[in-house]
Amino acid sequence: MTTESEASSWVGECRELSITQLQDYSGLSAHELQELVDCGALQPLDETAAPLAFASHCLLTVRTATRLRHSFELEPHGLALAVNLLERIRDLEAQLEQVRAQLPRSFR
Amino acid sequence: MKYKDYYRVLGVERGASSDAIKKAYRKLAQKYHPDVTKDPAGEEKFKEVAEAYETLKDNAKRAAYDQLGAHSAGEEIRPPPDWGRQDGAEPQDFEGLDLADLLAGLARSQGRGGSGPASLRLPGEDFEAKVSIPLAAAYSGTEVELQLAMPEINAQGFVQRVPRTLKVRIPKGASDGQRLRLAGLGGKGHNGGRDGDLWLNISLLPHPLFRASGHDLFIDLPLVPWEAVLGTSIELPTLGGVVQLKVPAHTDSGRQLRLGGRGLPKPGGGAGDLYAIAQIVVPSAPSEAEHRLYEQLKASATFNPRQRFEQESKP
Repeated sequence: MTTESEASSWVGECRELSITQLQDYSGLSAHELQELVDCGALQPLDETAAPLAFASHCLLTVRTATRLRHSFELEPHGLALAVNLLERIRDLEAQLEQVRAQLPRSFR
Repeated sequence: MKYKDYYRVLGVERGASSDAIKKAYRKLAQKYHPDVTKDPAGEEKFKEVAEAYETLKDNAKRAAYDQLGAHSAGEEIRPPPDWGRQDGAEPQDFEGLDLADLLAGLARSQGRGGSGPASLRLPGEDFEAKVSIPLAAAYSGTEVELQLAMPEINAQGFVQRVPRTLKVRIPKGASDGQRLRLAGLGGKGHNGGRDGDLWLNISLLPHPLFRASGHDLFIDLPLVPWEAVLGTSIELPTLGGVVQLKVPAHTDSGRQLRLGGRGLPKPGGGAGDLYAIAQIVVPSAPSEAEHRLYEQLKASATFNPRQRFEQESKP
């Protein structure tokens, strides 16, 4: 069977996601998302705003957090620590790739 | 149905305690979890480990699995018709089923496994797939065919993995590591629950000329010494075709010449930039005439590229 998709979207295509969009895309409930915010695994754009809004890359954070929580049965603080460390690693890897791309091919 | 040796996958004895199984799983999960591992085969390995743990951590599933007896991994087995059957239920035909799906189905039919009542709206499963595309395909958009094993519910109510081919359009806007969400192309929802999504994790294949960083592209621009000193105009390849690039006089090696908007298209519109990085190269075997000219240049030039050495090395 061959299926063709018509509804595709890049993560990061929009600048920010409302909590409703984040619920829709991640499949998590508002309560579950609030738990991730409370434990520090997920950072809203403005913690005092209501309703909360998030940078679009937070969708990947949510998916990572959900997977890690399920796979390792992590308690909230451990989950927040793991997610934040993984994000730091991703940032550093992106910076490394940027530097590598600027090196002449003969130096790589 | 092919037998899977879950104990062997986790590296524990058949009589291992729940704690030993959990410990073995956690050790392997830390090694192979897709969010952690750099091992290209890690994700597949993690799936095996997670599948084994899902069964062995649940006493009822483990008991049903143990009833199958010990076999070699991959060995074709046929469970007895009343295997895992509740009182009064009809004997089952297990033909064409995957062991993990079957065990999950048994748990569901016995009211366990976290799926809740049969009338509950359940969203479909999200799938993830890795797709590698050439840089040119990221520039112009492309279409790819994916072979996935999609779970479907058979006539007996068991989940069965069915091979499916999905043809999906990858629009312009990809960068390395970018994720594309294809709404509704995951597993089917149950009882009115929404269909799952298919998430594509895009990676860009290496290109012989261009290197990508985000939506920016970098290309080495080899220049001979006189081009670097006098300046020149060259034809530079880009993903959108050849463009004329003016190289200013006195261009040092390593200088980046930016061509705005000649990188990869961005999802929201616009495009990254293309950077040509000047590399001054010298002929490996200059002719006699060239050699003489270099000698003349050496005799008359006053430029000292190592002036800083002398300044900084003074006590």
